[in-house]
Amino acid sequence: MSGDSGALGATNTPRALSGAGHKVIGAKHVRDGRPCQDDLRVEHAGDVTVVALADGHGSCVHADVGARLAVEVTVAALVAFIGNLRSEGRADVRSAHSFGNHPLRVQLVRAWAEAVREVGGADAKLMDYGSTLIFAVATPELLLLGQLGDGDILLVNAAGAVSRPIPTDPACFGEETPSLCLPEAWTSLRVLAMPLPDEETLVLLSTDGYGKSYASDQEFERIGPDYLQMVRELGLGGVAAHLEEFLTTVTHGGSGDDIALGLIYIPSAPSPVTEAPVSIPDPVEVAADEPAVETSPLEPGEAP
Amino acid sequence: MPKLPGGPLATRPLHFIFIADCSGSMAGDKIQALNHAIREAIPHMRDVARGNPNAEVLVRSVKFSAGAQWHQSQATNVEAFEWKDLSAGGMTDMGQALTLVAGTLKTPPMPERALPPVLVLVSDGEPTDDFDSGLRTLLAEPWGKKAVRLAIAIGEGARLDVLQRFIGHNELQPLQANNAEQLVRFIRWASTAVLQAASAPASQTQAAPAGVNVPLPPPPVAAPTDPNDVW
Repeated sequence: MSGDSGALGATNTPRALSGAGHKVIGAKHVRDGRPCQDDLRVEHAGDVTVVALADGHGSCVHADVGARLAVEVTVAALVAFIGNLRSEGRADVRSAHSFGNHPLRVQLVRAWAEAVREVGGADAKLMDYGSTLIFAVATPELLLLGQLGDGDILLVNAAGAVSRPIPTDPACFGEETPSLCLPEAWTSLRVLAMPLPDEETLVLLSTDGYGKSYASDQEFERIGPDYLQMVRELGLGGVAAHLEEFLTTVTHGGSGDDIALGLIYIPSAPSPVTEAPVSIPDPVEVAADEPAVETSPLEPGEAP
Repeated sequence: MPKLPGGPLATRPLHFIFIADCSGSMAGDKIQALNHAIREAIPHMRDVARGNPNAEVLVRSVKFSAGAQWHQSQATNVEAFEWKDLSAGGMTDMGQALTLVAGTLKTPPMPERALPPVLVLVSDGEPTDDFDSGLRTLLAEPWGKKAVRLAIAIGEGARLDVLQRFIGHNELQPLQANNAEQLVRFIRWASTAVLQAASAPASQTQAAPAGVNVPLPPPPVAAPTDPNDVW
């Protein structure tokens, strides 16, 4: 059993937002001689923390490559996205939500497809590289979340209560999931922006191998307050040091699938945040209503 | 290591259901052969289950003749499962059997995190009730639709077109068992190769071929039939 030590670790940004993550190969994959097909990247760029996870479909011959490309292009695109918003003076929730749903969704899917063709050649079949995608970006102003396919995003507040800001996609059932490799995949990518919570918050992102290791959502969601308490006691770096053991234990005793877990810890705000929460449209409705238009990368000066 | 976060870990349940025709035409050699074939397959199912400890294989069975009933209603871990012999007599109320199975595939109690159920339908004849209604009820359940559905035709009198509709796609045809040896072989394949595939399914996109919920290994080729050993 091996983990991805390259992804392990935690660092603090000036706002003390911190991120960490880890992945392990599934117990079933070890038995079957298959590679780990989950991937994960944690990036700190100034005061921006990005975590991206991807789960390559076992039915795809290059699933591990598809997952790796997904997290690589996503992290790069999201760092650029926040940078562009800031250069335009639009690093607010409303702009992030608007630009996040369009054109970011299209850009991410397109960037992944282009990366696949760079690796696999112009004739590469996207279906051979299929993968899900989950990400979170935390800045001092906002939290931007995105999900395409199965897996879980949990928010844990200071009281230990768990919420799911992006509801489970009903298209995910059994082993079937929406994928980056499908036509119009961007319509399945749900993006949500919200103000950075004032209160202490832990964001957990995981591939489906974690959630499927419990008898119910309720049993799974108990990881939320447990990880939060552990972060308080050990710090995020201390928790990260245990993720290899935790995730290995979970895949052996649970689903047997690969597991990737990303964490972003948001400490309490030192002073009241002045920006009032904005009314955010339902991300699913936004996704369904938006036309599939060709877009250029978000540039300074582009109107929302 | 600190306490593991979260509730207790759980392997994923895999429900395996035999749906057996016990109509009058099955009486005699056919029902005896079916009992023997399933009984013979159980130890091999246990071997497959032990090879994948992340799946909990739960077995039960439905019988149909005049109406349909659970023959073994409790979903039982294959390690503890013992086959109880069936007896035959009556009609072929296959539709009611599918309705009965549909009831147990509802979510809840069937969890969404379960592995795809495996349904093995064995029949030698033509439905005498509303098969279409039963099939519709089964396929209306998400797990009915996502189940791995296999059909074994016993003898020449089975309605292959009906069994094909139960399977729901053309990637797999009903397995035609014309004698006891072939039946053993097909039941063994369903109980081992198919069970193994269903207990470790690869995640897939929504673009997978319609109805093919789990890619299956090819079924065994039926040995040449001895004209003196045919039902």
